[in-house]
Amino acid sequence: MLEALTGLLLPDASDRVLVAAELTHAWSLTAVGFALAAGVLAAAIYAWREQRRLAPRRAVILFVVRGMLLASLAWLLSEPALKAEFETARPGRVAMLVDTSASMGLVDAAGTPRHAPVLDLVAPENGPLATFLRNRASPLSVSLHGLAEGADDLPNSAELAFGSGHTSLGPRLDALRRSGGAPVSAVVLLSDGDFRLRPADRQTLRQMRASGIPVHTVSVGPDSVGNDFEVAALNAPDRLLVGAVAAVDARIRKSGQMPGEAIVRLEVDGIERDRASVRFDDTAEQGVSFQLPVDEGGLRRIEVIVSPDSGEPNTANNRAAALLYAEDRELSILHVEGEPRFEVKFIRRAVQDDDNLRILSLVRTAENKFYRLGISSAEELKDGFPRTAEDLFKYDGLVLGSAPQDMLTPAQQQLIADFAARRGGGVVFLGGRHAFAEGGYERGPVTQMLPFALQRGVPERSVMLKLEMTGAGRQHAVARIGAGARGVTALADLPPLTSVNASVGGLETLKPGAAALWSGTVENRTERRIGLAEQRYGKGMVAAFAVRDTWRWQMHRALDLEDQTHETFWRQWLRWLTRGARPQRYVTVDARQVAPGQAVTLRAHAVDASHVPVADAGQSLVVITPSGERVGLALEPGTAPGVQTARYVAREPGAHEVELTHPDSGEADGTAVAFFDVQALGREMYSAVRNDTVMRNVARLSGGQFVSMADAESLFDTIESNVATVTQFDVVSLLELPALLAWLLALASVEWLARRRWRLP
Amino acid sequence: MSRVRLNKKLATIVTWLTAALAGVWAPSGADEGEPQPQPLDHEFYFSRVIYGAPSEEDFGPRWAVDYPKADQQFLVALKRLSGVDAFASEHALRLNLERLHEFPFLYVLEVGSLSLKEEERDTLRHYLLSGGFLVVDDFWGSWEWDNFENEMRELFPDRPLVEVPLDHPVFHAFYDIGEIVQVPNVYQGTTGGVTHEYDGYVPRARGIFDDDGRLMVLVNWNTDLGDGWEWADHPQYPLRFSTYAYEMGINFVIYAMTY
Repeated sequence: MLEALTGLLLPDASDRVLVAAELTHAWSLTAVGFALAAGVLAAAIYAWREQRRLAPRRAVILFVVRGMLLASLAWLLSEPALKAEFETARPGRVAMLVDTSASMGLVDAAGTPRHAPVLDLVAPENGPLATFLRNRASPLSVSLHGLAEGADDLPNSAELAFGSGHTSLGPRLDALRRSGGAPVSAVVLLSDGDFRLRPADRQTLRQMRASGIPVHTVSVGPDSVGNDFEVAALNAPDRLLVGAVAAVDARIRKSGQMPGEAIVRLEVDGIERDRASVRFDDTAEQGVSFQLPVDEGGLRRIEVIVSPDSGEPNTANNRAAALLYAEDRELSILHVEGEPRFEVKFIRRAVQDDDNLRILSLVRTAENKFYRLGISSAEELKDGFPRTAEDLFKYDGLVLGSAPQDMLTPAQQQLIADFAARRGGGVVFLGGRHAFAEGGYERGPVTQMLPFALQRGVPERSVMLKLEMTGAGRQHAVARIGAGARGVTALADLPPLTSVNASVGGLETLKPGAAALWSGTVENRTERRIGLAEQRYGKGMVAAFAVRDTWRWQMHRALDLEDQTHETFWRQWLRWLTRGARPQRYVTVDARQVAPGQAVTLRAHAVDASHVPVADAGQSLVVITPSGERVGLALEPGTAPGVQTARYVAREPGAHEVELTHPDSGEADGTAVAFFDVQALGREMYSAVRNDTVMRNVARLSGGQFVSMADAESLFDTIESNVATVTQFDVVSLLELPALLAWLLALASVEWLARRRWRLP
Repeated sequence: MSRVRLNKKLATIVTWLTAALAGVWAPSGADEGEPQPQPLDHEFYFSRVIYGAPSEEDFGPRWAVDYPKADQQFLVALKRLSGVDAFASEHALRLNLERLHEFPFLYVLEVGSLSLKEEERDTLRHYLLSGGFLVVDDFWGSWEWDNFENEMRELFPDRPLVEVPLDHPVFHAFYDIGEIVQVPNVYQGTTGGVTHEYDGYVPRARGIFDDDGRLMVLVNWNTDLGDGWEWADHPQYPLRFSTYAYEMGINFVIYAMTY
C-alpha cells in the first residue's frame, strides 16, 4: 500500500529504485493513538446524547461517521508524512592522479621524458581518455590531479608541474575522497612507483576499498635499465660529536647482466678511507655499511662509490655524497647511582680519555650521603640530584642506575621525563637491584619513558644473560659493536652479563615505537629477554640496558688489555643518545642537499636555561657561500614557539655554512652552525626503473586494477563499471494530499445530509 | 696480689690464648673456599687471596690469618654503615682461578714471605691493569717489606711503590682520614704495649698507580687493619684502632668501586 502511496505522491518514483517506505509522524505513535481514541470517544459521547431523539440504527450511523471524521482530524494533527528511500545509480567522478615527482621527469635514451605517455593519455583534445569520454552514452566526469599537495582539479594536463615533489599517497587520497563536487567513484594513479607506501597510506587504501572507491594503478616507465650498478641510497648522520663513529650505510642496486660482486669505496674529501666487497647472489639490491671514526672537528664530504664496470653505460649513478659535520664540544653526562657499584668506576674509566665527554657521578654511598665524582666546583650537585630544570638541563645525558624511586621526589622524576622530552637529553636506565620495577618504578613519569612494559610480581634471583644482536641492532648505528671496528670484540664473543631484573620481560613487552637492539638468552634456559632497547621520547632518546655489569667486558680475562670494546660501547652510546641535546641556541636547515635555484628554509631555535622557548632571541642568520660571501638574513617568526625562520635560494654549487649570530655581540659564536650542499642532483640517473611492486600493492589494497602504461586504455571499461550509488530520501507530507481533504469533506457531507434528512438540529 | 687483680690477669691470659687459637692463626687446613657460583647475587665480594701451599705453616696457611672472622666482621660493618650490596660471608680465591676477574676487589695479608708463581703474576698483572683493586695488609718491618717490594717489582718492573698522600681520594671516599695510624695486633692491642712488630715503627700507606694516576694496589705496611676488624668485639681491644680500621676498609671499598 505504501508503495502505491509512494507512486501516487512521487510521480518520478517509477524511475528510481525504491528501497523502503514508511509513514512518519511529528508525534509519537502513542500520542497518535491517544488522539484517535479521543476522536472516537468524542463521537461516542455525542451519539449517546442523541440516542433519545433517534432510532438506534440512525444513532450508530451518525456515531460511525462522526468517529471517522474526528479520528481523521486527530491523525492529521500529528502531521503524517511519507518517507521513501531510493537508491540512484548515477555516474560518479573518476579522479586521474598523476605522479608529478622528479623521477617522472627522467628521460630515456631517446630523450623522451617518462611522463610523456601520461600526458598523451590525458590530452584534452584527442587523447584516448578524451575520446573515450566523448563516445560514452552516459555522462562520466573526470578530474585531473597532481600528486603534489594542492594540485587539484587541474583544467588540463598542461597544468601538471613535474618535478614539484609530492606528498604521501594516503593524505592525497583522503583529500580527493572528501573533495566537493560529484562523488569520486574511482581513482586512477599514474606513477612510476617511486614513493614509499607507509602504514598510514595502506590504511587509507583499505578504507577506499571499504568505501567502494578503487584505486587503479598505471605503472609508468621502463622495467629495466640494462647493465647498471647504482648507489640507490646513502644514509649518514649530518652531524655528530668529535670522537664518534659515523655509521655510513648505503644500498647498492644491480641491474642487467652485471657481475655478482662489486667493490664499494668510502671516500672522505676525495681520499679513500675504507672499502668493502658486496656480493649480490640472487638479490638485486644489497646493503653495505661502513663505520667511519671522526677524530677531528669540522665539515667533510663523504662519498660512497661503487666501482663501475666496463659494460656499464651509466656511471653517473655509481656514487652518492653527503656532508658530515663533526662538532667539537663537550657533552656532560650525569650518572646517578643509589648505591656504590663497580659500574660507576668502569663507566668513568671508559670515557676518561675522551675529551668530548665529561661524566659526573653522583653515588649514594649511605642513607642521605652522596659521593660526587668529576664535579667542576664544590657547589655542583651538593644537594644531591638536581631539583630544578635549570640545574638538570645543564647536562646532555643522564645515566640512572640502581637508584630506587623513593630516592627521587615526584618532582625530580618528572624532571627526568622533561629532560628527555623537552631538553632532548639522552637517558640510559641501567639494570640493578633498585632499577625498573625492582626499584619501585612501576608507575609514574619514569615508567612511561621506558621502551618496554615492566612485568610485575616476578620475584627471581639474578640470572646470566648471553647477549645477542637483534635485527634492529644489526641496522643500528652504534649497537652493532664489533662490526669491523678495530680493537672491538663482537658481541657474540663477549662474556654474559648479570641481570637482576626479572621485571624486564621478553620482546613482546616492547612498547610501540621502541626497538630491542640486543636480546639476552638466560643461561641454561631457552628464555629470551630484552637486553638493550631504545625509543624516542619527545626530543630525546631513552635506552634501557637490563644488565648491571658491563664492567665484565673490561675485566674479562680472555680479552686483551688493549681491547676497546667497553670504552667504545660507552663512548659511542652516550654520544648516540645525547644527539638530541642541542645548545640553547642552534640552527637547522630543512634540506641537506638541494639543486641550484632551489630554496632552503633555515630555522633558528632559541630556548632559555630551562629550555622554555624564547619568543624573540634577537638573533640573525648569516649564510656563507662556498666562495666566502657572507649573506645576512633577517629572521621571521616561525610556526613554533622559539623558532624563527628565513628562506635562502641557493645558486652557487658547493657547501654552504649557516651561522647564527649571538644576540649580544652580533657575532657568530661558532657553535650554532649548520650546513647544506648545493649540487646539480642528477636524479634522472637514479632509480631509473619503475617500481611495479608498489603500484601492485596500491591496486591490491584498494580493490583496484594494476596495468602497465601500454595497457592503460584497457582500464576504461573497468572505470565505466565504477559508478557511484547515491542513496536519496524523499519525504512528502500527507497534509498536502488532496484525497485526504476530499475524504474529510465527504465524511462531513454525509453527516450533514443525514441530519437534514432525519430533521435533526 | 689481690684476688681481683689475679682474676684480671687470668682473664687476659685466657683471652690471649683463645684469640691465638681462634683467629690470629687459622687452623691448619682452613677452608680455601670456592668463588661464589654464577650468577652473582651481590655487587661486592670481599675476596681474600689464597696463596702458598695449604699446610706450609705450623698454625695454618699465612693467607688465612684472621680468616674468616675479620672478613665477616668487616662485612657486617660495611653493610651496616654504607649502602654497599655486599656478600655477607668470607670469600677466598686463588689467583689462578679462571673467574678471578669477576671479583674486582682483592685483599691479601701477611705478604712478608709472599712468592708468586709466574702464572699468578701474569693473572694478577692483567687483573690490576684491567681495573681490579688489591688491598695489602698486615706485614711489618724492613725484611718483610723488602720481600714484598721485590715481588711487586717482578709484577710491575716499571711501576714503583710510592707513598699515597693523605689528600688522595682513597682517604676521603667515605670517611675523612686525617692520619695513618698503626693498628696493633690483638695481643699488643689488648695488653697496651707497643703497637709495632719487628722494626716496623712507622705505619705507611703506599701504592702502585696505573698510567692514569689511579690506585691499583694499596699497601698497608706496619699496621694490621685485619686485627682491628677481627677484635672490634673484644672488650680490651682499643676502640680507636677498630674504628680507624673500619673507616679505612670502607674507604678502600668505596674507592675501588668508583675510581
